[in-house]
Amino acid sequence: MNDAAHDAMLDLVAVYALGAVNADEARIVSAHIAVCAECREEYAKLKSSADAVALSADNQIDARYCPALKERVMRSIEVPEIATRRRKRPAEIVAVLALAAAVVFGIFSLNAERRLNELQIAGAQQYQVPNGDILKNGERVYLVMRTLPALPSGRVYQAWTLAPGAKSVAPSVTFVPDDSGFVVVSLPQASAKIGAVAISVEPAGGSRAPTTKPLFVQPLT
Amino acid sequence: MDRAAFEATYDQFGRVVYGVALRMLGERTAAEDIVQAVFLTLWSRPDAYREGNVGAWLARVARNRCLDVLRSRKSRTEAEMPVELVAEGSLDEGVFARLDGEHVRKALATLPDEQRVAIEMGFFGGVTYAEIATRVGAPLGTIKTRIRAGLRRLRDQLEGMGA
Repeated sequence: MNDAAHDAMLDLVAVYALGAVNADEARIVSAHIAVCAECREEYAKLKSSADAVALSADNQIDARYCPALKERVMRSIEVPEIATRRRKRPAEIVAVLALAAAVVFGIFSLNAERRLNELQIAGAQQYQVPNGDILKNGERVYLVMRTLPALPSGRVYQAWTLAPGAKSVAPSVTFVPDDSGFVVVSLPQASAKIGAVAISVEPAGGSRAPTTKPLFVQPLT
Repeated sequence: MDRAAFEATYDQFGRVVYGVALRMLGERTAAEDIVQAVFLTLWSRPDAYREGNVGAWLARVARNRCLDVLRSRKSRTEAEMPVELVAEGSLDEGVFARLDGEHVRKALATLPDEQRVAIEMGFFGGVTYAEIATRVGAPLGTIKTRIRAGLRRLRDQLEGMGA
């Protein structure tokens, strides 16, 4: 590589440090800095500048949202512990549901133990679907998915609900299972407003209407 | 990482992660989802963060998550920020810790507009330098040079402030 070409590479290294090259260029630069000490040093220097740019965005937050968002994040870190449970017996599934509902959506004012007792007494209607079960208990509907395939980057699973008598589905929550394909999801819609449930694979962030064929469509009768 | 350490990390960097996400996605709900996803990544896969400044790592993860969302919203040229590479010789940890948003905003304000715009478009806009060149009507080489010169000047400014 002559001087002019190498100077051009140094410019590209800077853009790479900022994260503004395409995937092909990223691979080229990454391979080059692995063998070029000068470019590696330049990358290290400019990468820290690019990292610092992120700090300039710390004035974007709405103070009213700070406590609620922190509470949501702190609750959510309990979920992976729940998600590691496997193939529970029915009573244990109910325990998972009680805890999942309590930590994921915070919809219960009662503590998890008391809620667990209520759920065990009430029981739940169970619908077997590919890769898992749907459980309807009182006003809530839960997806207990055990063997969902892993998704490529930028893709998520999205639940859909069909209201009784409706002709088109409404978007519900998006979710990603753990490494083994396990996840418990509490649907935010009341069970009385759900005549059927479906799941499809969608772009991260979710879709307004399904863009892929649903894995299943399960009526809740 | 235990719960107390996790909470302290959130208290220190949650605002930055949220800010990056909100600036890139422009929607509060989407930004909150990114914050939750980023910190869940830290909690469930602490091995993914290996060394360097954890705040910078969190911001890079947040940016990549936002790029995923932006790509899903519309077809666009893929910008890619290296998450895994270790930044050797990066800003001294102590210097980075003393920096805050106000420092960086002041440092960015010292850059010529064309350098600052190129850097902010590349970082927060999630676009490639080719797209920046198209949008501002400048040659590709010019945009690359502006970004390099801007990042170098930004580093000099920040080192001066943090010293």
